[in-house]
Amino acid sequence: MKTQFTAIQISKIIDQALVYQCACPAQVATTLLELRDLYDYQVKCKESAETDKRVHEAIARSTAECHAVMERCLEQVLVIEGWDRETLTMPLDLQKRPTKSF
Amino acid sequence: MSAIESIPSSKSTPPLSILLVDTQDHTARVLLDRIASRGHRAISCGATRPQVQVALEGGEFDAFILDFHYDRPHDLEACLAVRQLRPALPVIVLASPGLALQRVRAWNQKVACVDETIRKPLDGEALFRTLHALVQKRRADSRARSFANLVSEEGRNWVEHARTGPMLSEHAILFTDIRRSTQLISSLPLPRWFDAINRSLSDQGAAVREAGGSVVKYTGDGMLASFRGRGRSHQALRCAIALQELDATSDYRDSLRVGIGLAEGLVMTGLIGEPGRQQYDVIGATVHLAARLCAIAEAGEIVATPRLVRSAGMTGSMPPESRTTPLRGFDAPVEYVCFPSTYPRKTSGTEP
Repeated sequence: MKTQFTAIQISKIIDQALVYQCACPAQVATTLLELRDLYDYQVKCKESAETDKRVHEAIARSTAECHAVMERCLEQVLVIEGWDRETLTMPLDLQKRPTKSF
Repeated sequence: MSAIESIPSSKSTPPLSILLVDTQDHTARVLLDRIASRGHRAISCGATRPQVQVALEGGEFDAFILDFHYDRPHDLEACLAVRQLRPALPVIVLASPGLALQRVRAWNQKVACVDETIRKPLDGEALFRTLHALVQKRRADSRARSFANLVSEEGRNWVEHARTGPMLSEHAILFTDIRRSTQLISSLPLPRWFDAINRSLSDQGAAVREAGGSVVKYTGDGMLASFRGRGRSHQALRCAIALQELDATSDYRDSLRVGIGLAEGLVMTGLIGEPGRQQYDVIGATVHLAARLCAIAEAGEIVATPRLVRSAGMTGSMPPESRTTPLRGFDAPVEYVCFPSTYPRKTSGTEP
């Protein structure tokens, strides 16, 4: 599966978004990690002779498609919110925004 | 849902005092604000060991929180510092899923100093549920330790091994009793007497532990200790000699003097008393014999059965001759040996 964001970059985005409701990029980033886990699991299952390869191939293919969509989504969100794309730093105005759910 | 998440957040919990390490300013601010908004007190400090140490010495805390950032792996050392400096303080790490969480878990597998890891972004009540659960557990543990202190070591072993019925076994029994305690208690203010007797009994308890025995109970102005296993007579006599030395050298030797009684034989151990208010105890003729021998010991003397002294194998310490005396509750006169006090006798007579 092709990836646009490395695991370290995703960790960094989540790291800065401490609180759930004001951490939309972090939610997308978390979803990306979960999709990667799901993909890895399907690949491992596919290697087992006792399982139906077609099932796991279908899931893996769909997961990869979802992952690509969500990576593009994350890219857009970072641009819209004004994150520093190089350092992946949250913009100051977002850092100062009051949080709701915490 | 983890066990901790299933515990409802308690709004009636007293305010907590939290030490926070977060090397990112804006997340530190968010955490401090939100913790304060719940009525708790939080202060933040740097992540190095000296910084953590200074913060811990500056106040009392109920929990420690590290907001972990993947690019600062050394911050985890703050958790280790807390565990070493305040072993009972709950340690919580906030970490983002993926590599950061993996790093925290891998590190904690090696050092085992993080009590709970919470995934970021923080979801509603998760942090506060965890905090309250850990603090409650810490308080419960502390309470349990306080109660455990009220039980003898043998009693704790009894409970931990889930024993139910009494057991018959060979023990060496040692009794001490403070001489003239009734006169002393009448001549001293009670708080002073309480402090003095506590000091004496603490020193006696330490001598018992050092000799390999255990204090079964304190008897108000003395104690009952037992020694088990091979070498029990040797350990008990060695302990008695240490207590005699203490009697002769302590800085309270001119006011608090003890008599020491020793006997060896079969005893029954177990829990006695009504269900719900039981205590571990040792009973049997051997226990009575040691108590009676203690009662005839004058200040600083060891009175023991010849059998125990022979079993102890300390032939150099054996007094030249044994004597016999009638003892209350025993049909025939009882043979005993006496190790005289090594400190000048200040009083005559004994007090049962």
